[in-house]
Amino acid sequence: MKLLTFIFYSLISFLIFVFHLESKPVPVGVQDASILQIKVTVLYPNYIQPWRFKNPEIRHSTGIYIGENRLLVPAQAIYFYTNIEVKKPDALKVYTAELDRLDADLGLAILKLNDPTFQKDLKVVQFPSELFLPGMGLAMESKDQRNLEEKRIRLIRMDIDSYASGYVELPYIEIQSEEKLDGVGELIVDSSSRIPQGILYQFKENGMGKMIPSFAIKHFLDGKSFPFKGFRFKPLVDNASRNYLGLKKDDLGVLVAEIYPGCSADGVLQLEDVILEVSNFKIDPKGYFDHPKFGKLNMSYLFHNTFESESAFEKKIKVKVLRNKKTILLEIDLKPLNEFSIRIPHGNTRFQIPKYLMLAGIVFQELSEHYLTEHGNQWRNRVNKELLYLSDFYRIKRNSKEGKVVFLSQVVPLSGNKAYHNSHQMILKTVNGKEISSLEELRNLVNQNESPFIKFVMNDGSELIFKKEEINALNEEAKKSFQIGADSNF
Amino acid sequence: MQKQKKILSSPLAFASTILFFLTLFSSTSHAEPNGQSIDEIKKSVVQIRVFSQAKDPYSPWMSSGISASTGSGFIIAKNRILTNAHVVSNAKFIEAQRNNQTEWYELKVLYIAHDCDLAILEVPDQTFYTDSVELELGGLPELASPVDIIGYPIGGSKISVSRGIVSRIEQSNYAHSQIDSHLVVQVDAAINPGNSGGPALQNGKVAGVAFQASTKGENIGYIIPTNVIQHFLKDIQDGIYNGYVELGIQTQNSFSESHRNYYQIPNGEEGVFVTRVFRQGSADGFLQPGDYLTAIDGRKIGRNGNLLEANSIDFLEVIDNKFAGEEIRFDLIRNKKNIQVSFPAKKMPQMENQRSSYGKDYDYLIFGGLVFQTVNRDLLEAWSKTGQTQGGSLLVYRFYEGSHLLDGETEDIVLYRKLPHPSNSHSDFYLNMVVDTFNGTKVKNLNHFKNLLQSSKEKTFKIHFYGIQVPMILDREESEKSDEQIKRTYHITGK
Repeated sequence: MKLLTFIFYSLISFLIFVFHLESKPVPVGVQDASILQIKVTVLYPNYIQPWRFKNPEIRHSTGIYIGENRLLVPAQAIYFYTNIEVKKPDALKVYTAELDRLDADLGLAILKLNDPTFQKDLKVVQFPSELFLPGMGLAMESKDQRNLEEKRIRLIRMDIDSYASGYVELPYIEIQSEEKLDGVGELIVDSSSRIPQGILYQFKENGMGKMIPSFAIKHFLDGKSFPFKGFRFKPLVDNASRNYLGLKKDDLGVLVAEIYPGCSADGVLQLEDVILEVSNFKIDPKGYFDHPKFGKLNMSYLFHNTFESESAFEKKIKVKVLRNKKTILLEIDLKPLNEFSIRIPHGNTRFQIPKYLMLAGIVFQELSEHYLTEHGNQWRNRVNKELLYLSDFYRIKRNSKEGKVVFLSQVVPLSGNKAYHNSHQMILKTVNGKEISSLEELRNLVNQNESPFIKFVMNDGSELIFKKEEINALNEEAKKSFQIGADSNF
Repeated sequence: MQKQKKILSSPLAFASTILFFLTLFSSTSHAEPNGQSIDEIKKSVVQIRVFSQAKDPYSPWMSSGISASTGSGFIIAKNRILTNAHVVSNAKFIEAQRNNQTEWYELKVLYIAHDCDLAILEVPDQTFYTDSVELELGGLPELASPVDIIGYPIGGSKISVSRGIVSRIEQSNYAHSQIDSHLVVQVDAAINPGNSGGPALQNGKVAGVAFQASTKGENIGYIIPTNVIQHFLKDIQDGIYNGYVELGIQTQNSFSESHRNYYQIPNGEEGVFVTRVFRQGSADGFLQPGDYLTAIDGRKIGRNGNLLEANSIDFLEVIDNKFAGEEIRFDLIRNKKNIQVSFPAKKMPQMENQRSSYGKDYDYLIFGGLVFQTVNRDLLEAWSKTGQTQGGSLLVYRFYEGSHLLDGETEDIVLYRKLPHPSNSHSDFYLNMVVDTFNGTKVKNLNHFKNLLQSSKEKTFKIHFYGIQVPMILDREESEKSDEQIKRTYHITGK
């Protein structure tokens, strides 16, 4: 019994010791072999002619060794990769890596290397919850074969925003530097303690940049997903609105302006609710609250934060709202962003290759922001105005019945479809009288239709009509003449 | 695939330069245009000098600066001077001078037609016309025939003559209104700024009026042919310019056999399918989507929409030659039956906002420093130059696509700017959005909006905008109070 008690207490002591060891921030030395060069070959899809790909490109980034033959890299470096090469400092050998995991909203990915010798001599970088703000830092990058370079930066403040290619507003640290940085995954450490503070993911010519904070990285490394509040709010600074909504003089609060179906707030909040408090923090009329450590922060922090000691994820968020001039208390169960809610994909591609379906040599696609932006710098002036409008205003579904926007992107010119050669960027409204909400639905409808004719009706009232047997014959001709591999890619 | 006449089309089929700039001095040509003495020609062609001032659509309470420019014109019957509308648009003061005259004579605009870029002017002082010659209108020139462009182009105050060959005759967009499309004659002559309004002569008769040049090719100029001029002159015979009528439909070619089979169009029957009928157009209530138009006024229509006859032209050109009230007759196939439909030609009111406008005051509404206006082409162009176009895809889409406005009565009202004041600091969320309802009532047009606003007894105004789920809330008393201050601060007069 004594032995068992001894073993039990020894185990507890060991676990406490290990936990303590793990939680203690570990400095990164000047000579530590932790930072590696990554060279990625990428093959981007062609959104305008989705059966084709663009020429392969090379992208360089920094990779941080996180143990177990794994590296942390910015996600933007590896989208649509075909080959990932990793170079260790002081080594000529090039290793090959594969994608292990990725979070599009945080913009980070983990690479896995299968060569067991890779980890030899590499030091693991651990990301703590501790943040030194404001403070001086060092950006560590591996510029050539042998040397690590360090550049001085200043960590300015924490704020909340969607990352360059994400949908969810997450915390980031604003940094400043007089030196030139790439913003491709450099490790940032505190300048005196050399404790990791985060990873640089953006740096602009004006000397300003953004860093993913270490606590968010830790959250990602722990395999957790990121919560999404599921609504948008609008500042409430004018007296007219405040009086109309029944707010008292000293009341604060913001207005709920949009709620996304199937997301956290759906069924809890209502349009025109005034959010007065979140997690007992008062929300000011511009949507900010006073964080005891980080100062004024956007309210979204209270929903999307992953700072270990105050993380909201997997907790019920208490929200005090004014509804119909009465104060009520609500609780929101946080969930990750529901992909089903996204009607028009925007921001990150999330490795999604643009889908297409060819019928009678006519190419149909689902609208995405990427399709529009492929039309060059002046894309907003060049693309169909209705597609642009939908992309600006209807990215996320307003009700669960809304489907994807299916449109005719181009006609592959054949003699059998010559009546329609000038058609492009037209929204498909109906096929044989039925509304279409996805390419899959369109394909099924055309394949299963018993009618001898297939009639496509477009948003401008024009019609495209084919005999059913023409559709496959024209597709075969299009594939042969224009080197198109398949009728569809999904 | 779509064929659309004079409505909601893209801004320009070909980029054009309006030839309306300062004209200086040029050398005299001694050519004899098509056999006519240059001395006779000189007696009819006039140089026009214009001082103009436009309204600023973005700040409709303000006028732009005063600018000076010149163009050309020529004397036709009854001592009237024909020129381009764009030469005299926004004019505050116009004067003219004939060759060898030392005095500039004040001109008056009698008629101006922006939809076909023509204007009729008159000099009240009859001494201007001493020893003048009236030019006679001729017909449509033949392809590859020579024409002489006479006028006062850039480089001098003396008459200039340049010869060109007619290289194409087609329907094309007129840059002045940016939306109307009529017949044009393309010539390979060097038409330069200042030539605008001058005659193009062939065999001593007017073959057209020089009006615009292509920016895409060198030495490509365009003249307005005499059938368009005749249409204008006939229109003003009753003393009023009414303007062009619109059929108000969109059509689609019928090259596809399957498409024809689906609608059971007999073999050999040529024509075009109607895809859309606009409210308030001539065809509204008479033609339907799916109709197969085979002939207009007895003239057969081909599968591409051109008339099946020699020197084939677009069937819509037939409409272009009509006046309000005249009959349009179609042979068509509807629900597999051959029928004939007749209806009177008429104008479409909703065309006005689609067209560039000149010489008019823009109606607007300022309430609490928020500036509302009807969406029209002038406003959109001025607005896009400000760069404050974030979120503007809604109004651009609604303007160009236009299906929301097809009832001919509804106009889009946009909150396109604010005059900053503490009371409206919250309103940026709604900038560039189109008004949907006011206190629950659907807003039809600017006047309706003004009436709703002025007649409301509510303490709080609720304005819903398209695409935004929560309304803008305004306190009437607070907005009215700030209005006074804003109008004083920003020097807004007249409202």
